[in-house]
Amino acid sequence: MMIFVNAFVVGGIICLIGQLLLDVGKLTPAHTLSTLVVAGAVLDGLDLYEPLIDFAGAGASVPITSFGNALVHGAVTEAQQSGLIGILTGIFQVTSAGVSAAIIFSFLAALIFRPKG
Amino acid sequence: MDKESKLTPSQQGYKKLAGKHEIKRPVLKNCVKAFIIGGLVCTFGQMIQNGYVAYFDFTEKTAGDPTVATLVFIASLLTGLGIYDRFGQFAGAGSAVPVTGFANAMASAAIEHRTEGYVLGVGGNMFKLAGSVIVYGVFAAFVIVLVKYLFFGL
Amino acid sequence: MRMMASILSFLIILSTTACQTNEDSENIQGQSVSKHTIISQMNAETAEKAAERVERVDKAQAVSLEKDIYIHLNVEGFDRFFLKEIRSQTKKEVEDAVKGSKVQVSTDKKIEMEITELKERLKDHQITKKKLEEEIKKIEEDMKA
Repeated sequence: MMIFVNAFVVGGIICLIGQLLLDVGKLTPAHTLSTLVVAGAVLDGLDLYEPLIDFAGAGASVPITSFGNALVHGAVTEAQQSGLIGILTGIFQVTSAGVSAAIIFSFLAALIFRPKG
Repeated sequence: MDKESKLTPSQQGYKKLAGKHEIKRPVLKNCVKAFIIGGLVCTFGQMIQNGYVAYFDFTEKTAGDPTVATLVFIASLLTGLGIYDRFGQFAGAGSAVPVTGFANAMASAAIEHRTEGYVLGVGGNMFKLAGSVIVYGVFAAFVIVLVKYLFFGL
Repeated sequence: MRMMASILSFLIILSTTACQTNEDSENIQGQSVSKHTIISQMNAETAEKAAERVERVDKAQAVSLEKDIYIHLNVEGFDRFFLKEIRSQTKKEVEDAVKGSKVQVSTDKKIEMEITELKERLKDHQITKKKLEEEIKKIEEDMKA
């Protein structure tokens, strides 16, 4: 049960930070999301994002910040195994599912649906 | 504040006038909506993840991929049906920040530019918003891991 | 006479083999799995007690196969921020409690499901050593994944 409460609160807070960036920071959505992704990457660099996922589950793995975390994670894992070149080969390893799914389903949506309004 | 002092007095006067007529954003209301909706989306994601762990052969760690794929699928579907945009207008960052917002951005760009052709329209415009996210994410990851590798022994 | 003797001996041999197959099928039906030895889970129990002594661990479930111990920990609340630390601390505690053991610790919910199920089957003695090895191999793979 607690995992749902933690997921709700942490996910809500991350989205709240995004809203503040939009309203108070007056950033565009693209700027906001890019900032959050970089924040996720930095937090994983400091080994702080994984504990957040341990605590909040999907509350930390669903927001776009986890994308940044996954990029760093993949690069670190590969670099540990293969050295410097691992940074390049590993970056998309963990995020592969998400990005591929987004491209594929977006294309399918364009095939099936008509633009509205 | 340096930016403002570089303006001529009439420009400063105009800025003041424009500011008075700018639509005030209900920041507090938006924040509450973003918090609640964002929290609900993540909770929904948690339910999906638990479902994959309980009913399929996934561990908590490996269930992350199918969970994200499922959320992306749902978001693309809702985008195609036109439902996600209404949801997005209401929820602001609550719908844009989760990975569903990423999928919505790509799907809606793809659908919108369909009339321009599948290669140039759909293919060329899909990454309108997502592109910045990926570029900065990848570059940030590169810098961070490089620094870690060179100075902190990973 | 000789004919009778050979027929009789043949019948005797036939009946004894027939009896043997009967016994086997009884075992297969699982009435008493006495052919399947009771696999000691003493190491697992020691491990569980040692793990639960660790302050932030709420509950521990373990299965063991001789000196290999596979243990799942339940950690709740803000302690979950320190899962990595808790796992390595518990591993050390269990390795101290059971000398010469090879310990693998997990906090994954799936592992909890698998270990709990395996424990039930061990308690009811509804499992062979071979099946136990198979199940434990799967748990080990899931822990590494």
